[in-house]
Amino acid sequence: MERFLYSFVLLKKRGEGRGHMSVAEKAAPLQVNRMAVYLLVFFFVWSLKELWLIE
Amino acid sequence: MFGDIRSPLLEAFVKSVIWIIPVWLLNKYSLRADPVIYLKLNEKVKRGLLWGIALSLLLGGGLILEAFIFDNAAFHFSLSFDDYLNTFIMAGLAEEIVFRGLILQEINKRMAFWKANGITALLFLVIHYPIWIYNDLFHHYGSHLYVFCIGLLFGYIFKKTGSLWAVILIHGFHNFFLSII
Repeated sequence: MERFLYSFVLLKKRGEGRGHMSVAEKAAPLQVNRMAVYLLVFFFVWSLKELWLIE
Repeated sequence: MFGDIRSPLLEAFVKSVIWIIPVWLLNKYSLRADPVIYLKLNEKVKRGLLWGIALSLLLGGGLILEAFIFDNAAFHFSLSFDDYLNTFIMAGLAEEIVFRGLILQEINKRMAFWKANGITALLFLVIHYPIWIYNDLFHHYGSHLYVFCIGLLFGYIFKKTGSLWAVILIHGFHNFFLSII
């Protein structure tokens, strides 16, 4: 399914598909593990900053 | 007029490093997309700015009317440099880039808009928890519902206008109106 979607996206990128897709929709989704790591690190670092580092 | 500006500038720098730069890097190196285009910062700019200003005035009018008529509140315009830089400009810019620009768009690739918007609004609420805990405001339960609903509204406006500028403006003005009431 993901391979199909990705090839569909590539077709769109080459202008062979029909209809308009925004850049965010065209780009392959961020891998779930990367998104999870990003969210965990982001929430952890910001919490650390807000709870301990502010004056 | 603005007093010491070093601390607000440092705060803005730290916020940029933690909020904006990682999104930029994820866009460039993981999504392999131009961040400006991906975040819809150069798409429908005029439309976004016009809707942003119109809805900001509407939202501000509602907040002021509620405070003035129902709560008989006074307005105070003696705002600091920190308020202008971090509460209006940086909060709107950084929070919208992360939540509506990246998280909502990414989750929306995997599920329907309203589910994605709900999850994003929930995450948007959770990011406010550290400062509420620090300031002993966590037990103001109405604020939880309010921030969640505001998150949903911003997500919906972003979808309808197709421009991040609309929600950046509304977020900034929303914080401004809350500061002067």
